[in-house]
Amino acid sequence: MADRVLLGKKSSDYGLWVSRATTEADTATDKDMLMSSTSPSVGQILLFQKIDVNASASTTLDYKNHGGVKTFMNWWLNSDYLGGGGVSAGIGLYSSDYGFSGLLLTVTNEYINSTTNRITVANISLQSQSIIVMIFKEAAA
Amino acid sequence: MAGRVLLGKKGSNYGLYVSRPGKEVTTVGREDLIFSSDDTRTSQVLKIIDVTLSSAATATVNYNGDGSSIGYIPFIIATEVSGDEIKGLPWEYSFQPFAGVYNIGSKWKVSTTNSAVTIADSMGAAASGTFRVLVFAIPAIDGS
Repeated sequence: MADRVLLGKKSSDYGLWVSRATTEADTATDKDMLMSSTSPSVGQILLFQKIDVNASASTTLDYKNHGGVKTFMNWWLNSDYLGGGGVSAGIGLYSSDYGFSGLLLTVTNEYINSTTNRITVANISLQSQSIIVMIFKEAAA
Repeated sequence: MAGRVLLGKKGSNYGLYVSRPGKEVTTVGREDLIFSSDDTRTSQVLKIIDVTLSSAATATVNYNGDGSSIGYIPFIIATEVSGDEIKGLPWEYSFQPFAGVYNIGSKWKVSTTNSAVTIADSMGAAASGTFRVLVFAIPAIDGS
């Protein structure tokens, strides 16, 4: 059985490492690590939430930015609760989006101040919509 | 107070487990674990790369200083940043009738190899923008 948790010295570094199943933590490379304290980040999720917006309306959601960072955002249309599903071309794709005339949803992620960021969802369709938003802790700038 | 960090045996497996606040790590299910060494992958970040496109059609930044491979083609996400706004990869409708070129979709093309990330204007035109890319320690293609 592989030794998968290493708290101590790995090569010339000290830290915590957890390797994938059947892989030795002491010798595994980056792609076989579940956790490496020498990596720049572990991709922690700050926010993962469904946001509802009424027809022809917009809504905002403020969240703590934990250190004043401008965070990464991904969003999906929530038509199937699975992510990635869209009801029309150009909607529900894998990015935040300014959109253009004719698209139904515009989602923006904005730095407000040292404690708060804001998600704004604007819906120009005649139906209520729901999206799923995922915010990474990582600084986007 | 709930015990939240377990290094040892959980069920029939040995590993490292961390539960959510208020949840007892020895008894909770996967949905209440922040970290579980039973998982196949985590969103471990290998590198954070800044890319600047300056009046050019494409910009490429190597993952390693010498341009060498990191050993696999990684899963990445990218966002355009402008001031306090994190723009993601904005959409556009762009049409150049004399050139017969049009684009309905992302304003930017983002691609990666095992050694570098490239951001390009979808119309192939000279453009400017600043971007940040998260490079995950996850092979996007098995065996790459």
